[in-house]
Amino acid sequence: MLDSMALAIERLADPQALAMLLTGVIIGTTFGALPGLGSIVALSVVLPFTFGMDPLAAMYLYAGIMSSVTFGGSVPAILLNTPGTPPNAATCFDGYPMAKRGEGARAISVSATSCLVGSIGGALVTIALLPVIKPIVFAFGPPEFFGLVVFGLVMIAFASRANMVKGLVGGGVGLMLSLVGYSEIYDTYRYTLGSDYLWDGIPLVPFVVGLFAVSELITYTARGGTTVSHDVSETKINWHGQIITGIHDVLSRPVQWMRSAAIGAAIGIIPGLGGSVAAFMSYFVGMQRADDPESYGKGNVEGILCAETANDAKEGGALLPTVAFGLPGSPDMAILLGGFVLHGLEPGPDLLRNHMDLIYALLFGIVISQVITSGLGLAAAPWLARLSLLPNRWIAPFVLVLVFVGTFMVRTNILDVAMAIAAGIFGYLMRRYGFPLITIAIGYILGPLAEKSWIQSMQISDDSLMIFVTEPIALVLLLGALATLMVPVVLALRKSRARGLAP
Amino acid sequence: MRKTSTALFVSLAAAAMAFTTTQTAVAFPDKPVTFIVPFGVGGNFDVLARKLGQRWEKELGQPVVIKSLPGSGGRRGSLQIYRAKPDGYTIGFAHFVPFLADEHLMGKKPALDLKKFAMIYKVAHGPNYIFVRKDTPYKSVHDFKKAGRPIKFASTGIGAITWTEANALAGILNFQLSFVLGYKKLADASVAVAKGDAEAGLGGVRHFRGVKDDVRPLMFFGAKRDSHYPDVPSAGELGLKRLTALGSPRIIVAPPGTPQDKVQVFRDAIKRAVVDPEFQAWVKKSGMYLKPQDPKSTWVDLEEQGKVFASLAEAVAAARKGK
Repeated sequence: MLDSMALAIERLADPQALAMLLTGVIIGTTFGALPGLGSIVALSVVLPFTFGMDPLAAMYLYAGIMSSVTFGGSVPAILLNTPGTPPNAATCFDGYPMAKRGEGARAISVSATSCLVGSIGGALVTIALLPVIKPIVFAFGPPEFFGLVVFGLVMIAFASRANMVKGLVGGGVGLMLSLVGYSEIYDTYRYTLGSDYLWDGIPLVPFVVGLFAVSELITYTARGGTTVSHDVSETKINWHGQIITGIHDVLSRPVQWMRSAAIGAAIGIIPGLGGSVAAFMSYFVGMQRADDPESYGKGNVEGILCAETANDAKEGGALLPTVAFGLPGSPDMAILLGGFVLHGLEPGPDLLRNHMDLIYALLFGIVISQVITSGLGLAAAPWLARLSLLPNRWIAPFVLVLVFVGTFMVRTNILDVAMAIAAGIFGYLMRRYGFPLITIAIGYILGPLAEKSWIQSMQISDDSLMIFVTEPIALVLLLGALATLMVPVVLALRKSRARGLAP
Repeated sequence: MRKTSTALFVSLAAAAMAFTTTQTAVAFPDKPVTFIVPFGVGGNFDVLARKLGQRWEKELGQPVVIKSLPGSGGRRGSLQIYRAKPDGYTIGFAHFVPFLADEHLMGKKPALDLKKFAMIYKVAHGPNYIFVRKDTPYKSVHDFKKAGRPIKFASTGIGAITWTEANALAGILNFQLSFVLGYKKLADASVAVAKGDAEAGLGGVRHFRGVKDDVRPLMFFGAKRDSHYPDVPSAGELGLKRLTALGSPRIIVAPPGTPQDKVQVFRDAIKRAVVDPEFQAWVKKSGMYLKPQDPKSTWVDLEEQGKVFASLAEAVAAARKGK
């Protein structure tokens, strides 16, 4: 093990390796920061260029892109309330309120530092879990996934702290939207309105980006002004000083970031859950554990810390099932897997036995490129943050164009742009009537997994519900969901009893 | 004098024009060619197209731009090729199996008429393995019937190749089966078999390589044994010849109505590209199977596959109703 690590480090000392990481970082940060574009597009674009390269150099390029995309995506989430990639949606909750207070640079600094500690933590957790990867992957089957999804949806409805009923309704609406499209299990087309555009359901990127970004831009333009509220004096903002504060914010909270990194890496390892879940799960766990959960969503640095740390930690974790089973946990890992195959490396037990150095090289590459990303991010933060002083009426059209170009680029289908607009108007209306968008998005993202894992559980157990009782992990998760649902009822009961006892 | 020079000039110009026109006719393609792959970047079809494209580009003298359009089990990308302008600048891998299955197996009207495609060349064919979890008692495919209860298979979905293959096997060997469906990729379905959510699964070497310590292949769907597992019997030698018509052919097509001379340019280039020894070595190592084949015999094979589907339609319909 140490031999392969030494070999991996030796390979990283090569200037070509560093050049590749740097290139990856620049591409990744840019693609991450542009709403709609993300690591999938970035990886697809560079894949053909890696043919002539040495396999390891290609891996470094991929590592650079994968690790830097999340930081890139956090910048528009903080400054414009527009997540650059879907997993950055959780960063908006606290990042944007901070930018409003004139603390944009501090928020970016927190994000950059969190990404770095997340990346290191994720790599450490991944290395530690490497020997037990098989039991972990094998422990999660359809009943466990179903439990996780239900628990996740209930938690998010609870934590979005708008009206819980409205939160659950939002989740249900999202779930229903996710049903559109071809169902492999039943071999039928559902709600496709006779058009093949909807064969594969409502497309993810246009829907999520439209829901958050376009609806925000509508609100934005309607409101006018700048991101930074009027009552904050521009001259009093010390952008450069905020960078130091931001770094200190993260480093002074070791418990929070270690926990978030562990959550992120663990969720990354379970194939099929993906980045959005890691960030939200970590955010909500952080909120539950906080001394002042009320301040979450109002510009608490811990919110950004939890979301972004988990976001970056998951990359290391997601690498494990990809290399160990050829089982990509996310679409970008699927592309990485293709890269492996193109270079004649076949993931599977053989790769783990014979090419451990390559896996360490990738993990270390992810960490090193995160160091570069965070360094660049910290250096650029004071200037980036000044965006929040620009009037909204100048920024909005610019961002809108970026959103449209981004959604169009993914599949070069103009209908995707129409979808983003429709999702934006829908999101704006839902927002006006107090339905939290986040539960809609999560319901929509997790819906297919919920349906599939339910049906598969039934197929495995020959239609017996007992499968959710006999599988301990599934049982615990479902009981957790039930308990969370009961919390508001219990709280209300206690409140009324307290009132009753008062004279 | 003046007249002659004009005449000379005109004839020269005409000759030059004639020359340029023949030049353009010869120099097809004169701009990059888009190659549509109906599956995601990094998938089996995609990496094959990219690896092939590298060599093919040199033969064509123009870049081949791989465009991935995944969705609906390969239907979306195939439909995109079908609808593209037949000018020879859009070609791709059409995925024939889902459309064949729609028509012959499920009795649905397919979204396009496969016969209209201008077929360029068949490159590869991927026969699957049937495998079981290591600790199950099955030693051969004939043991399934002895179990006396439905055998549980993991597959991606109804109408998928592995689903039809399992049904075909059950129909011929007369055993009962049930499914756990909805796995996104065959690699996921293989893990499901390894961890015990299902007893048996199907897939290529690439798909179950990740869990090869936990599963045991029982039969190869080809006519002859495969070099990856020389001890595993083939469908051909077990007397299940009909099954060898199944599987997933990798066929390069152009949109309906593409001129034959252009199709021929591509066909010649690809024929030269597939014999490259380095490419062949890569294909073998990555667990894929080259099977270069001319359109004529490929159409015959496809018809045969359609017939096998049709012969299974009744059994499949009955099985679906019973479920």
